[in-house]
Amino acid sequence: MTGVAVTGEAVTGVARASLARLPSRLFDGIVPATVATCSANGVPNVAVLSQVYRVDDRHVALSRQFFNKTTRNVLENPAVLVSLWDPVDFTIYRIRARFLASQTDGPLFDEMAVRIEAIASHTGMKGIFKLQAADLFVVDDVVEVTSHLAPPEPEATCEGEELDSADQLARPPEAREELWALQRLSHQLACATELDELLDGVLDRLAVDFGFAHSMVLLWDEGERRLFTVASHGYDDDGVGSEVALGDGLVGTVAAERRVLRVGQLEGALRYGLAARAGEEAEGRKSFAPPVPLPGLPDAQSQLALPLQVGQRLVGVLAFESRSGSCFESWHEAFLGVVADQVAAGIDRLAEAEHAPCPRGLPVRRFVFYRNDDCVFVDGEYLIRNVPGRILWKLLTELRGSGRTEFTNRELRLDPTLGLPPVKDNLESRLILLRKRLEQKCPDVRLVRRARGRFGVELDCDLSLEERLDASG
Amino acid sequence: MRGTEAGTDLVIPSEVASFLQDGLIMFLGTRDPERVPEAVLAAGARVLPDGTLEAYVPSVFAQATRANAAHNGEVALSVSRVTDDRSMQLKGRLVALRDATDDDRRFLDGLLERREAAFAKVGIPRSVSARLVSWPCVAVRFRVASMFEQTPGPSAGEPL
Repeated sequence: MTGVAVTGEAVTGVARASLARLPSRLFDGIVPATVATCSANGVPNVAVLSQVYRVDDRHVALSRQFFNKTTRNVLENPAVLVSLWDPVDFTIYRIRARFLASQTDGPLFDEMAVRIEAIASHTGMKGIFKLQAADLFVVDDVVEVTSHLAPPEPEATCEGEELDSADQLARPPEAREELWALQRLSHQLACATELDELLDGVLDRLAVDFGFAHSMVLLWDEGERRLFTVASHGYDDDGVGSEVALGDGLVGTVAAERRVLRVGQLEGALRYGLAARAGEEAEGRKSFAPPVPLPGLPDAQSQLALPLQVGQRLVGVLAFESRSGSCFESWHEAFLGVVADQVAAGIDRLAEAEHAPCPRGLPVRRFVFYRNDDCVFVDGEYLIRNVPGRILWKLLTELRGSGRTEFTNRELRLDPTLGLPPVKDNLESRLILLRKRLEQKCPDVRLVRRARGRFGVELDCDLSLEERLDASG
Repeated sequence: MRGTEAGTDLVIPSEVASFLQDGLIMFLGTRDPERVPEAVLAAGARVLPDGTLEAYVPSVFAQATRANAAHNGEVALSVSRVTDDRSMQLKGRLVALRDATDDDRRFLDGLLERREAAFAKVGIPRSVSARLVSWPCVAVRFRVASMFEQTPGPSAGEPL
């Protein structure tokens, strides 16, 4: 017999609980919650919920996209039974509540809507799968039920589990490792003098000290209205240069809404998007400059993404993912929010600060610049585009034309053909992006920092440069 | 006992009967004399030769279900496939309540194995899902009067 048998109708394993003290993972939708209602004429209804939101110690809100029967029922009869499942051990929490009101705007609605929008965008359902209302309920009673559970086996571990542990939070502050780790992280941020040093260092530190094994930083490009990956940790392919449009997917939604977003049970959302793209290409839509794919775990089960902001200005997004569906808890949002604020300030500080003509009969690297979309290919393979693409083309043409190998940030900023914005131009991050893409795709051409605001171009190859109007030639 | 949402009994299509044998999570809904709703996890369900539907509720959950169903006969079974959230709800009126037998238990064996396999596919290990107490059960037999689509999406709530 699968499962476990007990004798008789057990009444033990039922205890009063407090809404405020329920684990936050219950509200992540890893195991879908259910809501039971009853119509005025006495017909019960049980519906699956996509989101239960803990508003405060006495209220919950249920997301309403489609479940019309539940809505009709609570208007007739406000009593509901919400059942939440703990994904870690299958404890059930039964919440008896009464319907109060539906909210279609305001902070609560916005908070719930952004999560729905992110999931919708992730799964190609944008515009179809959206929040109609946040239905607010007052909680009368919460009961924890374990009577249906056999004794547990030893627990499996997951990434970041040491941080999820309630034991860790219960320890006195001086014994909390995460506080000391935060101090080390903060010190590293303060000491960084280069942007890539700062970003790579932060992601490494978060992995070593906190167990966040898969992470990335994307920076905001105001001119292109897109985010681009500039650093990542824990992926086979670092994905540097991959782009996300504002509002697209989880990361794009976080950037658009300037809100932290934590989603469990992602399943194959990224795979879905890639499949959709493959479908478009199969129908003959030419992909002239294939974007670099976002770094990502194909089997990610949860994501946490935080906006990087300086004041109200968006700098980028800090994103994490995990193969565990319940590794990110609500307190991580606050904790990593502190980290994100420091990272954003560090990026801003370093962005404000200033920072090869020796062919030796070596292999020839053939660069082609497509003017219609500022896209550079090397040896027939996509390398980079947009502002970094224009910068690269400027450097290579100057190098071959005049033999110059030394350049300054200042001259790039003053070159109107590059299209850098007059303020907050992200030049440092664009140069990092360019340098990393060259390391990946063309290590014979290197950008090397010489001094503050100065860098050189070093070659271990001959250059072949060709400029075309578009792909047709 | 009061009337159901749809007045006539339905023949459960074979596709629905087959779907009920997949890796599903099921909840049986009832309500008390004050119309306070109740919903508990069901271990499984099957269509019987006479066309009625029988759901099996672990006895640890069954106290309120038994009392409610005996009082007013209103029953709603919500079923959702673990791996893709394909969902439906079948509503009807109670025909009989009884303790499940060894024959029922053998039937549930296969069903629960598929449920655990489905949980494993979405990242919930068998060490967790196998902890669910699924025996003994109360068999809740009811005649289905209405069926509804419940897969998340625009058509959720529409009659099947």
